[in-house]
Amino acid sequence: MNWRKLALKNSLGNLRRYFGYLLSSSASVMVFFMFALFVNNPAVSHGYMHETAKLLLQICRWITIFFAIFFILFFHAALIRSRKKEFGLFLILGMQRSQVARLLFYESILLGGAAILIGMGLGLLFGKLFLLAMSNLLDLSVAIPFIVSGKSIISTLLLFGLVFLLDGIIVSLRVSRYTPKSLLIGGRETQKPPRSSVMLAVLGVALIGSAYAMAIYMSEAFILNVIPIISFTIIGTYLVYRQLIVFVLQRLRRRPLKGRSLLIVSRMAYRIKDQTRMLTLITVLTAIVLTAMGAVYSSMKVLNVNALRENPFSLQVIANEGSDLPLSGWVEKEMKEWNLHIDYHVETPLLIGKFFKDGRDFDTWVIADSEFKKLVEVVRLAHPSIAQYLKPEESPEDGEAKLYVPHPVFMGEFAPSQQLKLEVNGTKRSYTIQGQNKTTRVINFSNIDPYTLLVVPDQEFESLNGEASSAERWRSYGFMIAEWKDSYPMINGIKEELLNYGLDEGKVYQSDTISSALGAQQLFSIMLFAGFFISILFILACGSTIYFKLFTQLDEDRRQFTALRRMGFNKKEVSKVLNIELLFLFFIPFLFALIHSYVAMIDYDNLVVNSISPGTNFWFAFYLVVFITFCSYFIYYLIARIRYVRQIWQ
Amino acid sequence: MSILKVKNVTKVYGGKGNGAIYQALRGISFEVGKGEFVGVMGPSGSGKTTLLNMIAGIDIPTGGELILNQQNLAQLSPNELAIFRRRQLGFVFQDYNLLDTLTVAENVGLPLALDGHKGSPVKQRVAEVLAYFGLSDKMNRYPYELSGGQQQRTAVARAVVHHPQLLLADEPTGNLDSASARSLLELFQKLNEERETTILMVTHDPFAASYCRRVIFIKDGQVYTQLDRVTERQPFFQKILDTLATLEGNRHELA
Repeated sequence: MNWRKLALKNSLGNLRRYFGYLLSSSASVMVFFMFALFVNNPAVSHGYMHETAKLLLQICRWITIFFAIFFILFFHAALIRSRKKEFGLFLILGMQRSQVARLLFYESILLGGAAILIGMGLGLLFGKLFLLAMSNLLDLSVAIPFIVSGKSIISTLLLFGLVFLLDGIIVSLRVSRYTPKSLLIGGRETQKPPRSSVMLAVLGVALIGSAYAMAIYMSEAFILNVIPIISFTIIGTYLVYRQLIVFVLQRLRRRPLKGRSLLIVSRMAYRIKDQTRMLTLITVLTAIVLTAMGAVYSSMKVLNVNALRENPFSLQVIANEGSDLPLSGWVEKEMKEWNLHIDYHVETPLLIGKFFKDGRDFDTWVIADSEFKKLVEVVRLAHPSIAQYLKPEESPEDGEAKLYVPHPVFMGEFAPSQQLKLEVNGTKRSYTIQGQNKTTRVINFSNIDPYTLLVVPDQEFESLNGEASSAERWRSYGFMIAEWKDSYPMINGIKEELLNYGLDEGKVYQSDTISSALGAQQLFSIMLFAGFFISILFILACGSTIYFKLFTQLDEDRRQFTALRRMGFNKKEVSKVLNIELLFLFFIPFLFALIHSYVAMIDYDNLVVNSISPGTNFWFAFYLVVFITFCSYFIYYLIARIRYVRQIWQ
Repeated sequence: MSILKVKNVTKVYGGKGNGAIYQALRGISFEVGKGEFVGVMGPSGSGKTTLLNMIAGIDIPTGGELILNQQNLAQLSPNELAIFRRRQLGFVFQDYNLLDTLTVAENVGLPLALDGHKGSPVKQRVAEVLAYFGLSDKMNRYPYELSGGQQQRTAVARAVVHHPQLLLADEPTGNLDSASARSLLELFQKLNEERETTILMVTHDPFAASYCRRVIFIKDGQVYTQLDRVTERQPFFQKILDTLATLEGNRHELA
């Protein structure tokens, strides 16, 4: 029975207290390890996946590790604080500070090692499931083989090893600064009564109010007001907890209250005062999760609509007039092979011209007005779902032209109303344009260069066409395929043929709907999936933090309630008091976060959704995320309630 | 031979920055001889706990000297102090301070283990002490399975397992019902008489104090008076009450 063994036994005995910590850190390790396994899987790293999607997963991995560092350090430090008395006792019994520090260091390393092992074990266990889910999301025909790469194991071991080492060092340094007095005898802390100031309470409300107002009414100035909005919200949240709620609770006490209400009101005032920082942190973290997940989920819906709007033609090939493309033959052959059907087929003469802006020149497609109208009509007929975005266009008058740009939100005033000089084959002509036109796109966006379109009156086009060099005369072949969602292999066939005609050299352009739809879908499936994982981690962290904070109060509460029982309070009444307190602790941050994220979603709606595809209903997605979060909190609340009340009477 | 010499000790709190200066001890002096059972009494705020903290080396006096077993505490480094505490002192607290995660036997063996002892001598010693305290059948239990009185007896066993020069007790009966308190005090008496353990007990309970052989009364950070027990316990208890009455005026409340 030497003291190291006793210390170890003591640490093991403390495991119950460390359960939440161990669980959360194991979960961080698990998530990181699973991402690592996936990204380092040879099948994944050599193909299958969009580059951006891969990058996204890497970013998620780093978010996980940053989060883990922050969370592990914070959580462990709080746990150590709750064990002050124990360390005080060790010091009183004559243990040296360096011994206590060493003990804590071993203990942290031990816990960290356990978390790594558990996390990696669970990661292996769920890794196969993760791969299946991913293959499904990526729409892969073959399942990704389950391979445990040494690289993932080493990187996980190394990174988390470092994190826990750092944690051990910090914790033991912190403990070695404790004195027995502060820990034990002299350390019977007297709680100061919570005070609050009306001024600060008002300030808190004002800060939140102005942040909300900025978010709702000044969404366009997002880049300018994003930092004020976030910082006002965080500071405001803190002040509302620390000042407003405490103030209200203190006010309530002035009125004659019944025993139980008095108890709840006074205890809550202390609790909220002591835990303001934690409550603020949790509120902000929850709001981030809700907003981010809501936004990711809804962008997926927006982007699905957008794939069609960006690339309306199921297949579009633009080639120089001179190149002799046997395109129709290929298409016919491929259609048969894959059993697809063409709804519409249009050929359109185009010109490439140059226009000048701010001393720079830009290439643009030039099209005759009647051809343009024909294309609009085709798109409208082929895709009724996006017909609402294709408004009837007015024809340009003589001497006028209309300029169409993609992404009008981000490109801003690319071409304000002005005279526009167009150069074709060395000659410049001048047109009046009425600003830039936004919504109508009849040339696919992806893979086609240039990306602006200038519509001119028919005779004007004739005359330009007469002047143009052969290198400037192009022809667009547009196909609308009824089953465009299944057209991926067929498109690939066409692409292969086109390679011989200079697809990679800019001599011919090819674009289609399905590639961008799949790309977007893949990207967002992964974002959703990875985001979901990280959100779970965050929510787990929030829940465990409240849960754990609660248990630091246990000793004090036990004393209080034992005293109360002697005064004739029965168990049932105590349970009721605790129940109401727990409800508040878990759901006040949740409600607060809900309001924050609701406002953020309105901002997001104004900023992104309305300008890209108005009318997309993403609120369902948001409510779903809210519901999931609510359920997680509810489960935490239930467990906390059962265990806390039970332990109070132990 | 005296184990503890308290020479003109003062303690001042506050001052730097936070304004209000509070003088907890104003030059207090007394001695405790080997084998004595001394009680320290005084009203709340009289400086009892401060005094005990300084004897334990947890708190540092502002002025004066503390000599424990010929060793001036001020001359020890924090590490030496730790070893000194480990070997020379035993502590009993009002709220027991047992480690919930260790069994009774392990809790009691902790001071020995801390000092590097291990193996069967430790086990033997622990078993012996537990038997002396009537806790043999509880040795593999955990603290929460015991009653308050049993927990406090375990705490006392832990405090004396390493034969300390001085046993310090801070309101040891504060959390106990009267029957448990009585049996604990009898245990202290027995330890003192049979094993010649030197005990310094801080209390505000006159009944507890009546078990001591000498009671030092302090008031406003100074020794007010001392009482020696020459008679039976009952008349001594009465004398203590009388002294408290004059010490606190007529506001004295029992227990």
